[in-house]
Amino acid sequence: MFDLNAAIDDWRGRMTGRPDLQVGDIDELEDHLREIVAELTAKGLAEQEAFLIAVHRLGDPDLLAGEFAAADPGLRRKLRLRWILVGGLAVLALMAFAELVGMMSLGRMELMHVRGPMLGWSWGILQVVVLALGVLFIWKVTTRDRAARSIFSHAVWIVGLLLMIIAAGWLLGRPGAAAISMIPRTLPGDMIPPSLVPLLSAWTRIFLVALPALLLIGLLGLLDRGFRPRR
Amino acid sequence: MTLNRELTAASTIPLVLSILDRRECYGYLLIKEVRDLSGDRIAWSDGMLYPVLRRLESQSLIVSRWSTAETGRKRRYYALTPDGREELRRQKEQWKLVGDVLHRLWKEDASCST
Repeated sequence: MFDLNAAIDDWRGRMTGRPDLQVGDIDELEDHLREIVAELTAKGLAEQEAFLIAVHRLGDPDLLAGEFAAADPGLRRKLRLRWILVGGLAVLALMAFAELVGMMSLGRMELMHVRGPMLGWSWGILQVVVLALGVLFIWKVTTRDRAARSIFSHAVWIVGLLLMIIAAGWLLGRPGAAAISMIPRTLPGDMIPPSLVPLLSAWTRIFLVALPALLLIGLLGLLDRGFRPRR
Repeated sequence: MTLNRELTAASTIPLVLSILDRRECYGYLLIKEVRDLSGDRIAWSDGMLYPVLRRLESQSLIVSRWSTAETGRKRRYYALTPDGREELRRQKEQWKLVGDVLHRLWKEDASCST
């Protein structure tokens, strides 16, 4: 007995694994395939026959993948770049998070001793947030998925709003700072060995360079919402 | 008579843009519409429409969104952007020009002046 769903799973298996055919493309082609099958079976054809004709009508997977590649020539390069950048930024974000945990495990006086009065753990939170935004930003500009783009814009607005609230708090008698101090400041002190602290602050110096750059591309992304190639 | 391959390829983009100018549409329906309107004489190869849609989308002439169809399946719908509308206007002018010139040539009995 012919099983349409099994046959379509099998067909999907033959379509996947080509870098030029993304999951969304295959989903769309599957919907098309099912529409043809429905049209033909409504005309009285057996399901199996309808399926074979539908597969034939969609065309040879290799040819099709070639056409998709030609339709968006930069796609493959963009995808590769995305993975490199997202991977790199994700590593940085994890490092920043580890550093943040380290900083929170230090007492306030030790913290000031290690990196001066300016760089508290709130600075660490900022690093993590900005790096996470960087990951979202790269995702946004290299994807056709509109959901990713709207997630990024929402994240930017939320973070921007939070930063404004904090800044306003500092300007207006520091209630913002007071709010921040409500967050538990210390974690168990032995979480990060003291020998790691100099290494962690080396990362901070890298972030001091990376942060303005990331903020800049974030701003550019906001200014040029589309960021799509034009003719 | 069916449309030859060259003209089929050349007319794909104005046809897609014209249909999307009327309403949002998904791939299967686009093909069906062209087939119905042309009385089966413009026959697109089903799969090859999608790379064309992808190209139009990367040129910002159309946008797509996923939605759930009445069948319960995910379906991708396409719509025209302002750039796409502008491109359609240009295409209309060009096709009209070709049509007008051919029409006049076939109507008038004039020979080429030497």
